[in-house]
Amino acid sequence: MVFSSYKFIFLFLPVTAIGYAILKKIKKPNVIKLWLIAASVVFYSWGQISFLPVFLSTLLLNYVFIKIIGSTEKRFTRTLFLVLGILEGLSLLFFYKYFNFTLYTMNRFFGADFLLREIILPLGISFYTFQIMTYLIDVYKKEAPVYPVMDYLLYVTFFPQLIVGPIVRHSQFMPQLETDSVLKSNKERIAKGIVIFSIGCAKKILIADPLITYALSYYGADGGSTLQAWLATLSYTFAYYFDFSGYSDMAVGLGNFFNITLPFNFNSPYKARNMADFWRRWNISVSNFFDDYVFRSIFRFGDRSIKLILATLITFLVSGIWHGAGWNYILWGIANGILVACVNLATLHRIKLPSIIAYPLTGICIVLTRVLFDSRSFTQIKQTFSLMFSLSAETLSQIPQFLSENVETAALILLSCIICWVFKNTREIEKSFKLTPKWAIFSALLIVLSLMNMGKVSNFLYFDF
Amino acid sequence: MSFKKWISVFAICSILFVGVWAAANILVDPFGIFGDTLLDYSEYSMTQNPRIAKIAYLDKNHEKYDSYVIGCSKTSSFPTDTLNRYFDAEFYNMIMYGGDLYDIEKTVEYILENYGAKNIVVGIGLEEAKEYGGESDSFKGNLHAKLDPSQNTLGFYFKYLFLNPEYAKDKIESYKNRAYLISADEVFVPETGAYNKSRRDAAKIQKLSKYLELNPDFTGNTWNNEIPDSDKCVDALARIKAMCENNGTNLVLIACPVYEKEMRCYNAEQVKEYYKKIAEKVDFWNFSGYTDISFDARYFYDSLHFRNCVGDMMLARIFSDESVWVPENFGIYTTSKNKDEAIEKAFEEKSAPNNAKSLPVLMYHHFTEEDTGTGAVSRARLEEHLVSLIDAGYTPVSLSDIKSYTKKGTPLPEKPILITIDDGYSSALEIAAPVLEKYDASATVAVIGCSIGHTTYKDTDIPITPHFALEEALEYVEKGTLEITSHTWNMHEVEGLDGDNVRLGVLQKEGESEEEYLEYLENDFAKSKEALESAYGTNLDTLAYPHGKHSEISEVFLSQNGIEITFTTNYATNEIVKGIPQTLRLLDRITVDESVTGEKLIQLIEKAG
Repeated sequence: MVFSSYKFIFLFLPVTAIGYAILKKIKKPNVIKLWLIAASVVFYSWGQISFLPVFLSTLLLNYVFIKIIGSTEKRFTRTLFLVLGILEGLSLLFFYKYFNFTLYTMNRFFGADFLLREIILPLGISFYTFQIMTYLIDVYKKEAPVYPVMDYLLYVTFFPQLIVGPIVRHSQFMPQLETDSVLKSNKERIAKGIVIFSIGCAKKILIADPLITYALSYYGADGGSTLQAWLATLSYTFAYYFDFSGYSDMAVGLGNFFNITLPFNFNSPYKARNMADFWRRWNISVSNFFDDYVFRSIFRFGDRSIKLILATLITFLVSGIWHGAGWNYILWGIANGILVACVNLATLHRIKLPSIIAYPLTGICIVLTRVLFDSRSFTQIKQTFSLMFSLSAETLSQIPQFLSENVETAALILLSCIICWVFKNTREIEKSFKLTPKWAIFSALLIVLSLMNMGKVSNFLYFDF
Repeated sequence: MSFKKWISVFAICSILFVGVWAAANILVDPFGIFGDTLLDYSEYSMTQNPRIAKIAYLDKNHEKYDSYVIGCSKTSSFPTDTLNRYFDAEFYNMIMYGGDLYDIEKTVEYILENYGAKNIVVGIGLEEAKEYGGESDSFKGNLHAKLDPSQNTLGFYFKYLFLNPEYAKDKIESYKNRAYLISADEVFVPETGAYNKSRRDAAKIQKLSKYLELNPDFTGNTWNNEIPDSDKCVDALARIKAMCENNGTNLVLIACPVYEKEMRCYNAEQVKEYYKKIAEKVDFWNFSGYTDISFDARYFYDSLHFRNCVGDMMLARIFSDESVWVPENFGIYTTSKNKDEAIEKAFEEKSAPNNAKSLPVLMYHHFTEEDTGTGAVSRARLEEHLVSLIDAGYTPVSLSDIKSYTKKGTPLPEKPILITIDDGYSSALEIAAPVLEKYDASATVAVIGCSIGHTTYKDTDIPITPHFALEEALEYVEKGTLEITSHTWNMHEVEGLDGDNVRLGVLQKEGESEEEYLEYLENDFAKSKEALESAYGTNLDTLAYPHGKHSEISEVFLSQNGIEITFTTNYATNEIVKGIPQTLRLLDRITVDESVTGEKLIQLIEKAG
């Protein structure tokens, strides 16, 4: 189930919230936790029940591993179950996400003839696997206690963050359960939740979805013009931000309904001064995960520059692989690794570009790396770059006509620029939020506009006869 | 501000915005459910979902109709005026894309209960038997909740009340972009419910090989179709029959023609069994199977839909109208008594018949007594042409002959040829007509209206080749040597004589709006029609395009105004088909001048294909 759907907004959310409000009155935290866990399991299985066994088994199996690790001081046992837990998570990810890709690569580059299987990726697997893994590692490192099973289950399954994150750290989530914040009065937080949810919903429905439709008209097809390549890449650049950050905002908003604070996952990434800064602002929870568990396990303060470069490159290579099974994602990871490594080196040597160069340069890097991420093949990457850099006087003269033909997409991109560079981001709005009519009207407008555009538009059924 | 107040403001505003949203959908009404009061654009609503919008239309207007033709898209090819004529009734066409027998049954039930009906004509294909009661799309393929008990009425209106505004936007855009030629957004005529085929029926129909090449749908991949829901369909038809009997309504069930390739996608034994089961319950007219119609793709717009002219033939067969050509094996009345024999006969393997005729058309202009070196054809050369044609086996035919061939199937000579003379010069009467008469031949003269009887150019003193007056041609018209037709009134402009912005034939001028152009075209056509019809007492149904220039607008306009035959100046021969009068549109012509000898003329004709 997705948040931006009628079923979620008019059925799932009201039932879950009303149930929560009623159960709060009996003041038993575990009953509320059980209700939220049950609701989350329903949320996860809605329309995709076949993935539930995989999810529940990995969830429970890892809790057993965590329990064992937490209950013994024997190094061998602790290490064994840590390795088992990590292997279990990585095996799942490998099978569902990378198995076919590996076979395809072997067929393509080594002349093998493996038959590809039809494997459907279970919902949210990349996120919940990592979330469980971080907790497992932290228990192993004795940086986290073994929480009660109910808290653990709610931590992993809590529906607002289950499908696409943010990957919440136990240190952010568990203390809220320990203080029984789920029992507290949350009226103002509900209002705040409505505002943040409506902003997230509008970001996704009103901006990201139409931009994705345009971008797909280029990236989903073969060939196109220079201007199409530029507009489609810009569309994807903004669409990814509004789609992903919109979803994260909705998650944060929903958390507020249940008195649970989830971290914001974005912090105006397009205001970044350089690519390292960009990655500190983009998909923050995932960036932090790679920073803590990959980068820092290779590079430590005081290490030499070469190690810094190596750590950066490996971190982004792993990030690329995590983002998707395809060579384009690996290339995208390497490209980002190189760009961030350059920034890190420059920082190390106290080199700072003037703002007038730094900001546009960062923007260009973001847009160009987007081509690597969104292309379906190396051929398309090559073709898109070749189109984008074959700007001629004739092409430039076609811009007014092209924009008039794609006025809606162009207007959305302009609006996206204004929102990204002029307006406060959701995190800032949340901080300064007050119960004022302005926000009530604004969120009502956004939610109704989103609902209006949520309904599907049927294909044209006319038959020419 | 307290939370209570805040949430109240949020709720009130949300309700207000939702109200605006609903109001916009009610006003623009993309599916025609709420009265379509703002735009009154039923053509669009019916195209979006004919099942819903037609019922909404009929709820307000059903008093105007007493009979209904109901069925899937194949039913679109029963012209309501032909139905009205044969049944002496006022028909409304309830064609719905992909309509299955569930849709048909529910529609019949609603009509009989709410409007009453003298006649119900149900057209069925084979697709209905593939799935009974399926819904291709919950917005565009569903029935109106009033007809369909499986739909919750409140939910139905709620769905259309809170439509994605994209629908309303599309309707407004389509409304703004309306033009003379109908667009794909507005294919229904609200007043008759008929599918508007003004463009399809004005389109040129080429020789079969070219037609197949241009419409790859006819020769595309075949597929295997099962008809698992055939029993449900038979039961539905039995219920429809019972409903009609209870209401004293005349039910005519028609199994529609199926293109041979589509027919072969079904298991013939299953189809025969299906038809036999139908015949046990309801008598019906069977036009499917392998017939003289099913083999020639030109009787079909595409591989699934037969032409309106075929619909005319079917009704002519049902009503035994012998003035319309209908192949012998097309249409068998099938009952429980004759079902085995009738259905076996319909599915007998046959070879493709030849219902087409090659027709070269010659185009002359001016004639002279002697060769003047201007291209004008001399008397002697014209005689040479006629002798060569006759020697080569060609027989000059008239417009009436070719019309009769396409409409009534009246045989044409082995090698027919049509002679046309453009512009209406006096030489057509003084030189050509006597020569034609001598060889018992006939020709069609297309006259430029504003030049009739003139020796000077329009309102100037500039001398031109003399043009005959209409009454001067009367003698030859009465003898049948000449047929006089239109070359437009004043749309044969000449560079240098008609100012700077010369109109190219009947085409729209640069800078001229479509409205201005159509007004001009209409006036021009009216003048020609008035002059020619009052001079000869015949209906004007033929036009030769000046310079051969034409457009889709001109063809649709002329076809809507009774012009059945049009001529271009493209070098090619034509193929005309029995039962398809549209094959007389945009006939190509072979230009003939003095340089063309008799022998060369025959070569030109043969080379033109």
